[in-house]
Amino acid sequence: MASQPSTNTALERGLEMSRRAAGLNPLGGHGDNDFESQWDILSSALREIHTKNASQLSFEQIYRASYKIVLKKQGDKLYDRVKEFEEQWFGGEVMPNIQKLITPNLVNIATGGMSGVTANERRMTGEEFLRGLKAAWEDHITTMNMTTDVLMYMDRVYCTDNRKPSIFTTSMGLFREHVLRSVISDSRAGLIIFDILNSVILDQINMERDGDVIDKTLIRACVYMLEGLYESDDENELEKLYLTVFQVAFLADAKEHYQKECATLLRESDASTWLRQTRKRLAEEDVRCQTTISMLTSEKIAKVVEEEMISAHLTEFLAMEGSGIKAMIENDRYEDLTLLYQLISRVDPSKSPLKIALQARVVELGSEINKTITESESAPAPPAQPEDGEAEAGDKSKATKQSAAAKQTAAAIRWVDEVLTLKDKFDTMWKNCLSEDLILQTALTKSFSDFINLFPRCSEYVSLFIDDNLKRGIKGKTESEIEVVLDKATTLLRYIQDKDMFERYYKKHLARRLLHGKSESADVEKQMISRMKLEIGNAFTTKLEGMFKDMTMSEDLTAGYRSHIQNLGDLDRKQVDLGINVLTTNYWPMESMGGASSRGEDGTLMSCSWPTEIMNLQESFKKFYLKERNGRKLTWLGFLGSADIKCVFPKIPGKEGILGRERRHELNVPTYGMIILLLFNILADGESLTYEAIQQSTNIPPQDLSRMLFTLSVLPKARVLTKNPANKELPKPGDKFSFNASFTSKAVKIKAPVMVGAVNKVEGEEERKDTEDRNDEHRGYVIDTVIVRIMKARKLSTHQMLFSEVIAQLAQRFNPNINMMKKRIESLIEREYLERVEDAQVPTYKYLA
Amino acid sequence: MSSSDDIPTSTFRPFASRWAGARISGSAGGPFLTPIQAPDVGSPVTKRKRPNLVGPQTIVKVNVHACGDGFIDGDDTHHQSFPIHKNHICHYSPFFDAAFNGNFAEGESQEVDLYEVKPEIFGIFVNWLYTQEIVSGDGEAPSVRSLVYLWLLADRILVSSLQNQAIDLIERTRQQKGNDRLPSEIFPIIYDNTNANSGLRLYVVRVCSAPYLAQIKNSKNYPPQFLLDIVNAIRDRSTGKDRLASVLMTPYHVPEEGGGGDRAKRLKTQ
Repeated sequence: MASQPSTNTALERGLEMSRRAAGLNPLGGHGDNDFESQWDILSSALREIHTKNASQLSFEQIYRASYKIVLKKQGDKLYDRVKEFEEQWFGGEVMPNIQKLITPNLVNIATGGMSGVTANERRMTGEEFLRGLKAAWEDHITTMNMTTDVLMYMDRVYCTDNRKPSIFTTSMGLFREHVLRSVISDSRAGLIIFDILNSVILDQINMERDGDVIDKTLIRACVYMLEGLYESDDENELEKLYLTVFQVAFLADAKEHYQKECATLLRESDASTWLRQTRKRLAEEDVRCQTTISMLTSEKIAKVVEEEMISAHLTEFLAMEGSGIKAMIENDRYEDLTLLYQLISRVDPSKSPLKIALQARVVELGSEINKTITESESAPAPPAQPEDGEAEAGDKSKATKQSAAAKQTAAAIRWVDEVLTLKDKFDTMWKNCLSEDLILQTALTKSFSDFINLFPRCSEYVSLFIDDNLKRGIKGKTESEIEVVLDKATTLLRYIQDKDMFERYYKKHLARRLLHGKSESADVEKQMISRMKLEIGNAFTTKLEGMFKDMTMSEDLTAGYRSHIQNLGDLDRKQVDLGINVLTTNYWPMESMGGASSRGEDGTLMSCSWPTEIMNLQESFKKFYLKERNGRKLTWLGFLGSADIKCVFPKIPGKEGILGRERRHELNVPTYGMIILLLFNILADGESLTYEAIQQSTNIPPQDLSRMLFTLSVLPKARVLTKNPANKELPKPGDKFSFNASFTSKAVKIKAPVMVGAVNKVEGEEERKDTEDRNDEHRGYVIDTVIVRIMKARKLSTHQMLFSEVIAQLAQRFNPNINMMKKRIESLIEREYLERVEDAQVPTYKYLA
Repeated sequence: MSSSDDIPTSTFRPFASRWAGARISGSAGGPFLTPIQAPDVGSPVTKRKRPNLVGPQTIVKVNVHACGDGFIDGDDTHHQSFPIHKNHICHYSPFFDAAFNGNFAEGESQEVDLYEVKPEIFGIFVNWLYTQEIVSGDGEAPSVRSLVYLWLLADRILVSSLQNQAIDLIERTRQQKGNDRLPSEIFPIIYDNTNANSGLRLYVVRVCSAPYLAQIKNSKNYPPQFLLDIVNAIRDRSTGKDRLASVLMTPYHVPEEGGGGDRAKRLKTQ
């Protein structure tokens, strides 16, 4: 510590001397002389730096000079001198070199005139210019980095304290003003360097768009320059010259270019070319942003291309004959469609042009299917409906009638198949090309539903399709194949609007499958039902499930009854073996099962007269049945079921061959058939029964009776009766029937041909009308229920509200008809469930408790 | 003292990190072909990682001369050479960063002749480079006078954090001495080597304008500008009772930014 003072004095002496040596006033004078001598050091150093001769300079010395100037409060002077120096440098050294590179050609291009030289020459002169500018810029950056290093103390102390932009920023501004914005010496239009720069770069880019190779690195360097320069010394990021000047010009130029290109494509090419060219352009511009200009522009240029190449003429391209959307869909041009989807997604998130086109196409193709099926149905149209056609039917015409019906059934299956094929086509397209777009999926679903519901028989056909598959379609199929079939059925089901109609048909078809033992697999049936339960709901399937329950119950009953009889030990009498199906009335569609003709005028069920042996059997079963189920009512349905009858045909004396022997056959006939045949047991040989007699003793509905007799007395297969007159007409009152003793057949077991009922097929016009009427009637009840339920809760509701709520509640099942709803309301008012509110402003109803 | 221009976070230049990287990796390949990365707004250049000595480091030399250039006295203590790890000194001092990494003679020789700095003060700086602590040769806290010289050195070679540590230490020393005074000999030194807005100046004016101070005796240690500043400071003060137990130091600090970070922020070419 003791030595400290002396060191200090020695040091101060040294400092003083050094000040003197450096020409400084030791008392800290602020004279210009000081400044000038330091500035001399600095300015000569700056010159060396600018001429790239700095490697001999001592950084410390130059820095110290600027440090001292700033300490002596001469920062402002220094700052201004450096600026001045730079300005002079630009004017005297930089600009002359650049001006030299500006050829009249470049000026011509910039002013929009014709260059009059080849693209190649234009490219060369342009590149020359760019190279010159790039060099000037890079020199500037290098020298300014060094200058800023030297002037760091000024930046830190003077610029900060006085809120001046750093010397580097200032020098960037100087470059902008004195180089880029300097006016070109021999130009008329007051053109500046910047104009030339823009036009040269754009010219080069357009050359590249036309397929030339250009120096991307060079352009990139110039773009970098523009990204490093700003409109003002505030250096606002949004005011980069690149953004404010170049990008504006670039986008405008691109817009014009793509406008032209798209117009040319529209004129000379097809949609496929257009798609590919657009994709190519989008990719090119993106790469251009990466390699040639700046990523700052990538979104904006993409937008320009999208607008000019996609949006501008989209509808025209889509409508192009032979290559537009129609052709793409028709010919499965997946690549085109994929591209189209990608491009449209870029410009329109709702993809509405594509959506509309796809929807139109679905409806168009779907309507075609509807039309061809309708036509093919009516083309070989039999003169009348198959069911009623038997009036004057002979053997032959009957056969054709049958096959016509089969044909129609086949048409139904074909309709479903074609709809599914169409659906598959669009599904595949959706998966492959439309990246499983949800909006489009919804749209497609809607269109499918639209055209399917336009087809009046859709419910019936879909049910028939399922019926067909469940009967034999799934035979020999693996589980996964069955799964596919069920999937298809479910898909179709989803589209159907009138679910109640479908339910009606499904019940009918299912009933036949079950009662006639046609169902291939109970397991698959149940799967189908559980699918429907998922799709449509519990209410829909309870009855179907009930039908299944009845079937299982009946099996148990049959077995139980059989053992019950055996246990009675009452085997002395010839016992009729009974297999029974007990059907719960509500679950089964009696009318469509053939029961319609058994109803009287008033709708009550007419029972036929059962033969005694059968009546005994019925009584016996009834006793058994009611033992455990008290209070139930059993009704025996003659129009259902069948019977096996053992027939003995005694040998006919005097006849040779087959007729000379006794023949035994086992005949399978419908229940009615059995009743009729039993009548003949008590008849003496050679006696006959009139139609009327049969009718009277059996009480079988006339229509059913005629048909049954036709089977037994006209059709050759089971002609165990003879008809008089022996023609092939449908039996009618007045005809007589007797035992056909000379019946022969090669088979022991004979199944009497059944004309109606057992096979599910397309309904005839009348039958369909019946079904529809029944359905409408049922709908009426449903609507009634819903209205009452709503009104009970609300007590008071406007017409509008009530309707919309009813529609909403029923949407799941069917789309109610407005007129029908009005009628139902009228009827409810009549029945005093509702009343109109008299003086309400809008029509309003009131619930009457 | 603070202007928004100086705070690195306020104006962010997207090229900063890229160009700095290009410089380190050399000029091979040319950076123009690489796509520009989107501005990485999340991590502006605030604090660079402190250097360490794990792994071999280049040594540079700083020859410190107490007097001006061209003047050599016979006293060896006035001319001393310090070998220093380059990464350390360049990390903390933008001045040395520019000298050793620039295109001037020093960049070539990797040797800087630093004039008009006392070697002992520079030694404190060198020690601080490695330890971030301010101690003199004997391991004690340096005198206020030395601390003033240290502050001035740090100001000149642009090491803000050292400036702030030094001025804090001056204030602490003042309080420990108990007499609340600063040695008057430092005033002319300060007024000779700082600008009007310098934190050190403002600080001493603040201390010397306290009301209880003894009479000014050694008038030659009070530069006219200093006296003027004191008078103005007293006038500005609202209340007379100012014991000046301690000075809140924040206003006298220099904004710190990660050493030579501002250099790295500039546009560069290869």
